[in-house]
Amino acid sequence: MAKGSPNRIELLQGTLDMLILRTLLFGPAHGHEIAKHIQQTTVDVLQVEHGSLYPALHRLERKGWVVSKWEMAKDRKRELKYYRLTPSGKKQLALEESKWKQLAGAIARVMWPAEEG
Amino acid sequence: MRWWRSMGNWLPWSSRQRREEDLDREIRAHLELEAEEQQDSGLAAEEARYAAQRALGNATLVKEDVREMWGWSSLERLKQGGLRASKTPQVYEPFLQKPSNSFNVVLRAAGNPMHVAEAVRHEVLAIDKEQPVSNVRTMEELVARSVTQDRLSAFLLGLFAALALGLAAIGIYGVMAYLVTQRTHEIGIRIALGAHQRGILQLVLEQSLRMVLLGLGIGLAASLALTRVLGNLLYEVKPSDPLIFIAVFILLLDVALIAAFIPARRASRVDPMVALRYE
Repeated sequence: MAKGSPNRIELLQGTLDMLILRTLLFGPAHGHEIAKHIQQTTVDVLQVEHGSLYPALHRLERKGWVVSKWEMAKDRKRELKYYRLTPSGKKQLALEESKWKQLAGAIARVMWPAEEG
Repeated sequence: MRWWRSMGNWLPWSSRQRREEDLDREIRAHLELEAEEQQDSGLAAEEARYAAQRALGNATLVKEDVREMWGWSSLERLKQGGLRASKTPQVYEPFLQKPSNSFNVVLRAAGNPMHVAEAVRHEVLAIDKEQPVSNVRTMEELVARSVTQDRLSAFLLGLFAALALGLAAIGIYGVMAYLVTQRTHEIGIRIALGAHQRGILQLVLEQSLRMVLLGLGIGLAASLALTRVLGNLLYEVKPSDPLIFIAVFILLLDVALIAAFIPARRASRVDPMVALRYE
């Protein structure tokens, strides 16, 4: 793992899957695209080592939440392996999202009790 | 996780190979894309490649992680204890961590390996004069030695099987011949009453065939039930190999038919006067 800048945060275990599924909600994408998307939308705060993406993608595929296919890239320069969300993947995303919200809410209540009404 | 890890190792080699190549291609494409992007932002080609590799992390480990996802390990599986042994995953230990005062060295050579042996011994002695090099053997020899026992028992089994087949043939012949000979008197009467030679032959053959088929049926059922016991001695042959069963069936049937035919023909040619006095 590269040292990275100090204001980068390592991903919590299990959240990468959710982020990947969410990214694929926009449409099929290849590994590099997914990595870039997560990096850019989080303004480089989340430290996603590109390599950790592939085991996660293959795990999602194994579970049937995404399917993959080699397709010609948009710039038509090479074939890339595109991942696509499946219906059961969408269900899983909804499930993980609600779990995540619960977790975040619970942590927030502990951390900032005053703000709770 | 465990159970499908072992399933993964059952995947046919070609399918694993395909996925392995697929993964390779995927990672390669990723590195290329990233390098191009880095180059666009002003890095030199070489530096861009390194930056892409840094962003990815250790490619070997990434691939191993993916393999684990798919349920196979890339650990080599080898048969260590001869051909009979099952394949076990291998781990290599550094000599310095686990020293030993004698070990085997495996060498691959082009041409006859035994010709290389002297040169190897020479090289070893050049490094350490007191290092004995002994027990030089070819891999073929080692493999052959590991199956000597099985080879011997297979040979003995084959020998006994041939004996059993011979005995079965002789036995069937004996019984058939005896049964027909016993009926010489009856056959004599039939001929005296005007039966034709062909009719006699047909009669005897038909009756013998019925008995032979009954016997073969019982034998087939028994061998189907019993060859299972031999199962683990067989290599690349199923205990119920249809070809073998059919071949043995036809062989024994032929033996029985010949065994019935010869005395039947003799009986049908017999002078009825002799036949009637027979006994």
